[in-house]
Amino acid sequence: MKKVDADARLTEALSASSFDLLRYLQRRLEFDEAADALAEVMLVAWRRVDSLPRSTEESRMWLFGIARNVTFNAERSARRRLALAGHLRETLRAAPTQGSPADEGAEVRDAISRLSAEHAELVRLVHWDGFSIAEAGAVLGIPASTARTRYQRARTELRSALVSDVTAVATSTMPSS
Amino acid sequence: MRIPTQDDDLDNLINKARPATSEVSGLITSELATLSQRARVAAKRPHPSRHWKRPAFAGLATILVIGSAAAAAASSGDIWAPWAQQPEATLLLTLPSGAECEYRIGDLRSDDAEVLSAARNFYQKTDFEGLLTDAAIAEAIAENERSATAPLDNNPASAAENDKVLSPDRRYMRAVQNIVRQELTMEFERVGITSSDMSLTISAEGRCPGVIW
Repeated sequence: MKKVDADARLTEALSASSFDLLRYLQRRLEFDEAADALAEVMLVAWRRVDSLPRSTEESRMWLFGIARNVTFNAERSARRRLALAGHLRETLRAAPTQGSPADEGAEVRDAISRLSAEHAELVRLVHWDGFSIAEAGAVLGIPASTARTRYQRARTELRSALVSDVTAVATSTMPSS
Repeated sequence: MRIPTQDDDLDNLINKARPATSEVSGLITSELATLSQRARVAAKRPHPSRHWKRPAFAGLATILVIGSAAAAAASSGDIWAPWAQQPEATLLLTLPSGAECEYRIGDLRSDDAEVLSAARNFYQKTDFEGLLTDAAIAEAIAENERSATAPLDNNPASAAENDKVLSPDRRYMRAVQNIVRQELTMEFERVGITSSDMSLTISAEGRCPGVIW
């Protein structure tokens, strides 16, 4: 693959996916860490540009795979500030947000986070990031059929967890006779 | 919260739990495009294995000794060298083994005042914490592994060293060394220093208690 070709394709892939990558990172990290994490994703992508898949769709999955690794690393250590991300960080602080207030859905997010890491990520990719189950499987590096099985299992576990949470709350708030 | 009794209920609950994100705006879109291009430039820093082939910085790579040899030598002593008591920069690192390392860099010397000034400016101003991220180090380690079979500078001694099986701590330090070297090289390029006979020496001393290299 010619270098110029790969550079042009990565520019295009980032242009098409960078906002989605930003939102992916904002949904998984502290809001203020997302700009630095995105800068890391882009740095890694550019350093590995020779490995960029040829198809547009695979390129997109490849970028989200990098983002997933960056969030995984972020969980192990406090994210460091990159000068590269300074402008974006400041812009995001002042920019309006869309979506539910932070406290809404906290129980559900908590229940999702108690699933296994892979099940939780499947649920997030499908419901929060808008991937199909097969695409979510591609991000996680698992076949579509495996992703479908695990997604159904994740839903079952999540439903049980939420029922048990609601039951526990109902019991604890029930007036004693 | 309602108990999810049907698939639709569960879908709604999960969807509504989606954390808030930034609204799409022209300003953010423009910032993202800029970030992508800046990342592209930053990522295209010359790789160390290419540095060695470049006469302009051939000397530089040999004198940047933030490496394990310096650490091993220094870790047995308790007193920092006189220059290290007022270093240009200090790096605090946690190695894969969990050992904590303190590296002091300084004693910069050059016949060329411009080179000396640029190097001093680099060590004093660089955000090493921001530079040496986990992702950057992991990538540098992977890059070192990819080029592990290639002699660095056609020097058999380098090739032999390169082929050795290194401990995770040494691989980590080598990655740190490469990243810092690349960044310094880029800084020289930024300020237009390209002299092939540039002379610059830099000293580094480290303390890594408990490390077995």
